[in-house]
Amino acid sequence: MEGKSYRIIKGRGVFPGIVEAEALVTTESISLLGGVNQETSEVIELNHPLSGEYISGKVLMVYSGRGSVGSTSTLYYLKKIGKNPAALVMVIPDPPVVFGAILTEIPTIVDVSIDDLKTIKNHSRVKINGETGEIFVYDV
Amino acid sequence: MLDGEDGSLIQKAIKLMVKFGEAMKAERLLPIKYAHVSLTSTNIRGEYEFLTDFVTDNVKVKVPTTCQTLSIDRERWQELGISEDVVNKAFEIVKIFEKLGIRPTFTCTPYYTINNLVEFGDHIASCESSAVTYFNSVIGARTNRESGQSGLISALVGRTPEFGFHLKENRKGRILIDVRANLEDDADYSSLGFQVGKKIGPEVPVFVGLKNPNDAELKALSNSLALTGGIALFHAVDITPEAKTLNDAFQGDKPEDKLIITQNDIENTYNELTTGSGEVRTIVAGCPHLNLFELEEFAKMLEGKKIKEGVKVWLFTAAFVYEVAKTKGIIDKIESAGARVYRDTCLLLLDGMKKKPELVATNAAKQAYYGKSFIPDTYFYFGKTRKIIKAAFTGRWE
Repeated sequence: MEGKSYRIIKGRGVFPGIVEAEALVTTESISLLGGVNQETSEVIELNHPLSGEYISGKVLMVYSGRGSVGSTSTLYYLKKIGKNPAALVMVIPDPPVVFGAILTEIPTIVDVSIDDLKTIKNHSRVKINGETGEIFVYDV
Repeated sequence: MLDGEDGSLIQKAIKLMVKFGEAMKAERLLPIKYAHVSLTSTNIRGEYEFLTDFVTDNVKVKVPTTCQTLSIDRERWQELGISEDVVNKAFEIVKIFEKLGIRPTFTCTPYYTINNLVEFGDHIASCESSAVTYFNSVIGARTNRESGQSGLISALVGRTPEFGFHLKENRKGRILIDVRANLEDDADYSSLGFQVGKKIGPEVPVFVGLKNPNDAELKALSNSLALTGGIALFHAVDITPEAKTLNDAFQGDKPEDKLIITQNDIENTYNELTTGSGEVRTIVAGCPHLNLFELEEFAKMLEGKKIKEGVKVWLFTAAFVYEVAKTKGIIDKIESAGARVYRDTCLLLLDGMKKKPELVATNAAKQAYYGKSFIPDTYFYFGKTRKIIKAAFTGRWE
């Protein structure tokens, strides 16, 4: 997105890599085992703000992981079938999600402030740098 | 390990642990005394795949390690009507675990299979949410909630990052739970954990008002606190080892919040997880796996009687516990009544069954709660142990 204006939000990078993609954004947590279909990557948890969205290829921006430690398994399987999220952003790092991200080499940023997360609209275009912890938001 | 002197897989494993530690702001990796590893079921995608992709020959775990529940009973898969491909996959998993030097426990209650290997204050790495809560709370060992993948990798390198529940300050009680209810059955403790977990989420609760719970009841409480709250540690004053006093449990601080649990709250779980009455075809207990004391209790309730024709009674336990119960004549007493004791597996993980269980009554909130998603077409009843045994004789839930 050369030439287009952006703003920068900072977090802490925990797995490096630069990714630009559409963001799926919620201030709620996500349950990757049980709340996401492991074959299709669709969010299937009832009443979840991202219900019906597919996390495959997206920058998944959530408050944290929730529920089962099986999140690692879901990330591993999605990566294996090529339907993993392109990058992960969390306010609070959930250990099984973080471990899954490191294991499957998905660029990941944590410790983003909840107030910053609130300013990003769902489906915004973002670029994340998992090394520096910078999130470029193309919405200005 | 980092330089590759233990082989490339161990080098990869330790590098993953270092990166994980950095991500979780751990200052160092801690040596662990023991690990409990999942990756044993065939019905969760990403477990078998990881195990077969990651593990290579000639690699062994560095510390004593046990493993989690399978999707089959290794001895009695045939009578459960499990399909051949699931059986083959399960035995392939068994073989991989044997090669890794992991003890073939195949249970969600590994603490009943390791004598006193894990003691107060020991750092360990455990999978299985109910076992994590039991190890942390009842034994006073220190573990985070490990995924199958992080658990196996910890076992391979004998290390875990020092964060979360390995640090004393994170083990401080936060919410006081005043229990003003009469708890008389495993299922009541299951219900208590279900309500508290739902109300407070992933916090550290401190219970007062519990009256001498036995080990099975503390196991049931651990199970449902983890289920609805993601709770990895609780204290119970004058009962669990980090809570000799209320002050100890809160590490000298005051509770951040207080919650009163009444008899109504306990009854609510029964109403929430069961609606109405009707026919019962399957009675299930053993979530988590039954201990010797519980098997003895079932034997007393069933001895010399016959369960109703057409009703199945399935009790689940660890193979190790089964063997001890067998020599004491407990298994025979239970099975003479028409019930069956299965090993290595549980209702929720059984995979590839030609005929799914129907109209299930259970004394564990977790079975009823998850049952709907694992076995969508059946109906679940949740009730006290005495009530599910009564249903075994009558075939009815009243």
